[in-house]
Amino acid sequence: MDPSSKKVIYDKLRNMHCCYLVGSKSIQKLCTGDILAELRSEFCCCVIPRRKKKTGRRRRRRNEMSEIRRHLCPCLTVSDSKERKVDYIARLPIEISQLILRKLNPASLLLAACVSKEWLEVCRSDNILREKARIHKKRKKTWMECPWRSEDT
Amino acid sequence: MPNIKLQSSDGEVFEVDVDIAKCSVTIKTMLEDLGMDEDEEEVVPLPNVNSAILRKVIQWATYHKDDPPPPEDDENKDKRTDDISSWDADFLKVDQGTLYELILAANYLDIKGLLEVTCKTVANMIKGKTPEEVRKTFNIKNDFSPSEEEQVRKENEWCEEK
Repeated sequence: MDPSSKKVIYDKLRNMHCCYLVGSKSIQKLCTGDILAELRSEFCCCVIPRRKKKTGRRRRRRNEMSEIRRHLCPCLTVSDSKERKVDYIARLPIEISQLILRKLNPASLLLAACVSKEWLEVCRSDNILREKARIHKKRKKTWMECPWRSEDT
Repeated sequence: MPNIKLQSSDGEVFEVDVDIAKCSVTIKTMLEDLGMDEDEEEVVPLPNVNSAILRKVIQWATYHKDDPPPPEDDENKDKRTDDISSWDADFLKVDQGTLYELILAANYLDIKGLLEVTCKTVANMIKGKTPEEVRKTFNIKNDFSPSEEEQVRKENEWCEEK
């Protein structure tokens, strides 16, 4: 990683009101191999986010996580463009992941939520996605309970 | 037609027609705010885009330079993903890493059309697949226990919160 990218990451981490343990799961998802080792040696003393209250913790953490992803991603991807497979939904900035999932039909969306915990969190974080899934669920339920529904349809 | 110079993160300089460069809202704003188009020697640095990706972005923008501007808040925007033109489909026959970087570049450079078509491409890779097939496609580890996955699949409680 070149020094300027490192500096960008370092500044972003410092400017946020919390720091992260670089060995944490979420960061590990972002970077692999050498980059992770480099990051670890660079930010060896980072800690888990500071928490004030218990309420709303999950949502806040999610927002902070998407914030960190947004800033880290462009710097971390410089060296891995040859990757054959990319977990787009977990690695893109959250608003783009939401944009992609919004393009799915409701049935595919409900299945996408089962792919991994990260995908589930992205689905949960967007009210448009939640609404789309809710409507589909309700329709399906109505259909299943419909007395005229014949067994072979 | 006037040209401007764009410099990628790895230092390569591309000379591009101003009108083509301006399909990036980021560059357009930069030129307007800084009044850069008067000075021919000025180079616009793009520290988040490498030369391989910038070359592709310029290629896309050149082909699409005469496109009408995308409609704002089109209701059908999110619904269709099968309307990718054959040129775009060919253009996006790249490995997943390149597609990923193209999405990041389209987002950073704020090129709506490119962001739209790259996101559609990823959505098409997810559509109609079971979770297991999706994991295989993108090499994702299933971090749900079997009972957790069953619960998410059956109850979908995630969408209940209003």
